Amino acid sequence: MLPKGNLLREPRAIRVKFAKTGKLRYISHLDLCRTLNSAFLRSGIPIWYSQGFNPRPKMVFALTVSVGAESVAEFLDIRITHEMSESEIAKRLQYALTPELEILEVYRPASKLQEVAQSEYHIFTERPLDPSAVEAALQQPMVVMVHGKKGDKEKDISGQIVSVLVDSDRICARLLAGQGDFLNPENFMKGLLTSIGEPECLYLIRRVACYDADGRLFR
Amino acid sequence: MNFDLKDKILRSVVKPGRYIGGEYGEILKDKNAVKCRFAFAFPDTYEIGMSNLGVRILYGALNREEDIWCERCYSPWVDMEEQLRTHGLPMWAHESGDPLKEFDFLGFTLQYEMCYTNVVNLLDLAQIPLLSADRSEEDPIIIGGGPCTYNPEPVCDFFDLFSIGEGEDALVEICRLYINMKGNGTYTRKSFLHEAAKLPGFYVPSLYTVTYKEDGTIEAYIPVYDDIPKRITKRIMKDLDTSYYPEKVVMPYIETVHDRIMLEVYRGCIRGCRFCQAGMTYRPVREKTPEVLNEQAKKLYEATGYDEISLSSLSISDYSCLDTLTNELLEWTDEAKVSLSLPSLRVNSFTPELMEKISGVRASGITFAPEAGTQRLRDVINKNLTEEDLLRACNVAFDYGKSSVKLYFMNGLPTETDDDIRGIAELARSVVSAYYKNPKAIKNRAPTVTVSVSCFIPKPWTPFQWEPQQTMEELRRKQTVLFEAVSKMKHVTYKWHDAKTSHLEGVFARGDRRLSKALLAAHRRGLKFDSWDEFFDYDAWMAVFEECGIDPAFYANRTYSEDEVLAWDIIDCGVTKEFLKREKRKAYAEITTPSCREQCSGCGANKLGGERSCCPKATS
Ligand code: SF4
Repeated sequence: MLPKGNLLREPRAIRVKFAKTGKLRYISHLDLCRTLNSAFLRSGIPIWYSQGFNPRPKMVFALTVSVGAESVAEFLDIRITHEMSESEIAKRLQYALTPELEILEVYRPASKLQEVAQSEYHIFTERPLDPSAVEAALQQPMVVMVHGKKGDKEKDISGQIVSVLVDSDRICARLLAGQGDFLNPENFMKGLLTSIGEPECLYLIRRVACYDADGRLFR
Repeated sequence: MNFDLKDKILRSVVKPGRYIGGEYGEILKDKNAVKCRFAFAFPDTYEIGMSNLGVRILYGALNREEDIWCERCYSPWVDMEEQLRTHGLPMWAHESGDPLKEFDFLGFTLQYEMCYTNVVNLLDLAQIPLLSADRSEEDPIIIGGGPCTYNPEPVCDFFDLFSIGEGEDALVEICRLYINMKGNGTYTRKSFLHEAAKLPGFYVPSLYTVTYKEDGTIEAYIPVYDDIPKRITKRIMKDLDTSYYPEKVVMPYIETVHDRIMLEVYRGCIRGCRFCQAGMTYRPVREKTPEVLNEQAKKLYEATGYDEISLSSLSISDYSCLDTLTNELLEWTDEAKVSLSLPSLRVNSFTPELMEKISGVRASGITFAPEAGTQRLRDVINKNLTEEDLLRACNVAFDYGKSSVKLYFMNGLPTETDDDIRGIAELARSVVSAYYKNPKAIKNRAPTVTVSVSCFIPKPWTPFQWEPQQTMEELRRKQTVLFEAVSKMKHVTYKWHDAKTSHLEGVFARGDRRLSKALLAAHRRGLKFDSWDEFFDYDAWMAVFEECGIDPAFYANRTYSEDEVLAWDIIDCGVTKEFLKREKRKAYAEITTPSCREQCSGCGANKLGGERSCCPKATS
C-alpha cells in the first residue's frame, strides 16, 4: 500500500474537470460512477468516504450529459483526507483511466456545482443544415414530447433555448442546464430537426462549457 | 460529420457498452508487429464472459508474450445480432475492432453445454465456415478449451482442435508452433494440425476415426496417423505458486456478474462427491501458499481498485491454510475497506471465528448445499454432511443476525426414493425450527428458507457416468411430490429447475460426435442462448433431433454398460475408470469415501504430478 501524505485537519474539497469522449459516450452515468470509484481506489488518492453503514468514496457530479453525448466540460467534486497536490491528483487519476476519460483540470473550487445554469453544446450533424430554416424554426414555439416523472407530456421548450448559431454541419447551442430548469439537448435536437423537416438526420452532441445564471463561465 | 456504420449500430442497441471495448486494463498492441493474433471468444454475453476467471488468466498469459496479441469477444445480444446480419457486418474483436475472421486463432471457452449453439452462431456471425472440414488456409484455426472439453465430442465438427486441461502454458505453445511453422514455411492447415496433435494436451478430432457398433454404441477410436497419441492426457499447471496469475484485470464499464477480484486459492477438490464433474476433472488438488496469495491480492487491489475480494475455488473451506490466509488479508483489507467473500463454504467450517472475519460482507443470506434430503442418499453421493452439521452451521449464522438460508438440492439422483425427496422438506423444516429455538435469532423477524432444487445430470468423469438420467416425467413427478410436501410449510420457499433444460444438458454432456449434426440443424433453426429461459425452446430441440434421426434418450436416459467405449474415453483426465467403477459400487452400497486429505483412494490423478497436493508420489 502506498504511504500517505499528512492527515488534513478537515477533508479538503477538490474539483475535477474532465472530458468523456469517443466510446465513453456510450457509458451511462451509473457506469461512469463505478468506473471513477474504482479509479480513485487504484490511484491511491486519499479520497474521503461517505460515512454510514456502507462507506463509499464520496463523489458529487454536476449535471452530467446523457448516454450518447460527449463532453469536455464535466465536473466532479470530491474531498481528500490527506495532503496531496492537485497536480499529483490529476496525474494519478489520469493514470488510472483510459484516454477517453481525460482529466482536464484539478483545483480547489471557488464555486458550488449547483451554480451551473446553462450549458454550451456543439452538435455535429450528418449533413449541413440550412441556417435560414433553423432561424425560422427558432422564431416559433418548439413543442416536443418530454419524459417526466409523471410520464411523457408535450412541452414548449423554446423558452429554455438561450442562443443558437449554425455553422455548416455544426450547431452551437446554449441551453438552460440548471437543476430546476434543464433542457436535454436531445430534446432540443428532436424539436429542431422535426421543425426543419429533417427528423432522420444523425448528430453527435458534445458539451463544451458550462455557465452560471449570469452567463459567466463556470469553473 | 461522417457517422460510420458501427457507430450507427451502437446507437441502436440496448447496451452498447457490451461491444465497445476500450476498458481500463485492456491490452493493445501493434497488429503489424505481432506474429500471432488470438481472439478469445466467450460464447455468452459480455457480462458473463467478463466475470470468468479462466478468461482473465488466459488473456494475460497470452498477452505476456510480446509477439502474441490476444483479444476478446463475446456473443452479441439478439438486437446486435440483428444489426450485424442486416448490414452484413462480420463480428469483430473488442480491442482492435478487426473482424474475427482475420485472426490466426479463434479460441472458444466451453464452460457449459448450453452454450454450444452460441459457438456455432458466433462462427456464423464472424463469417467463418462453420465446419472444420470446410475451412480453407485463410480461415482462423478454431480451438476449444474449458470444462466441457473433458468430453468435446458433441462439438467436434466445429473445431479444428481442442486444448485439454489447463491452458496457461498450452495455449502459448500452440501459438509458438504456429509462429514457427509460418516462419519456416512449413505451415499448411493440414500439417499444422498434424503437428499440433503431437503436442501434449491437444486433441485434433478430425485425426481420429470413430466406428460404431450395431447397437449404436461406439466401437473404437482409431488415430489416422501412427505418430499421434491414442488418448490425450489433460495438461495441468504443476506448481500454482509459480504459474502465471494475472495481476491486472480488464475493468468493465458496465456492470458484470462477478465485478470483483477473484483470487484463485487452489485447484482441484479433496472431496469426491460422486455427481460432481469438476471435483474429478480438476484433480489433483494443488494449493497456493498464503504468502503468494496475499501478494497477488495486494497487487490486484492496487491495479483494479475493486473493493471486494472473492476467494475462489471449488470448496474454500478445504484450503489447508485458510486461517493464515484470511488473517494476512485482513491485516490490510479492513483498513482499505475491502471486503472478503468466501463462496462455497462447507457447513463444518462455518464457525463463529470465520463469521467474524467475513461479517463486513454485505448482509446477504447464507447458502449451503446438502444436495440430498436424507443421510442415506447423502452417503450414496458421498456428500459428507450431516443434518447436525447443517443445523449447527445455520445456528452460527442465526447467532450473527442472519435470517435467510438457501439450501441447494438435486433430484433424480441414483437410488433416490420419494422418502428422500420428502427428506428435503423435512430438512428445511428443521432449519426453520432451529431458528425459532435459537435464543439469539432476531425476534420479530421470520426466517426464510429457500429450497432450490436442480435435476441430476449424469456427467462424464464421475462415478455416475453410466447412470441413466431420469425421464422428464419422473423428474416432474418428483418435483410435485416435493411441492406438496413444502407447500404447507411456513417460511419455506421452493424453487426448481426446469427439467427440459436439464434433459438437453444431459444429452450433450454424454454425447458423441454424431450430435454435431444436431447442433448444426439447431443453429439453422435459429436456436441460441439455450441457457436463457427466454430463448430456450425445448420443442424446437426435439424437432431437431427428430429431423436428424437422433434419439436423445440414447444419450441421456440410457444405462451405459461399464465396458462400452465412452465418447470421452479419448481423453485422459487423470482419474481411472477402475476408480470410478469402485466409487459407483460404493455408492450403491451406501459407503462413503474419505477425503483425499484423510486417505488417498487411488484415483490415479497423482500420475499428473503437482505441488502442495495431498497425493502420494506416483510410481511410474
Ligand atoms: S491420487 Fe489419491 S490423494 Fe490424489 S487425488 Fe487421487 S485419491 Fe486424492
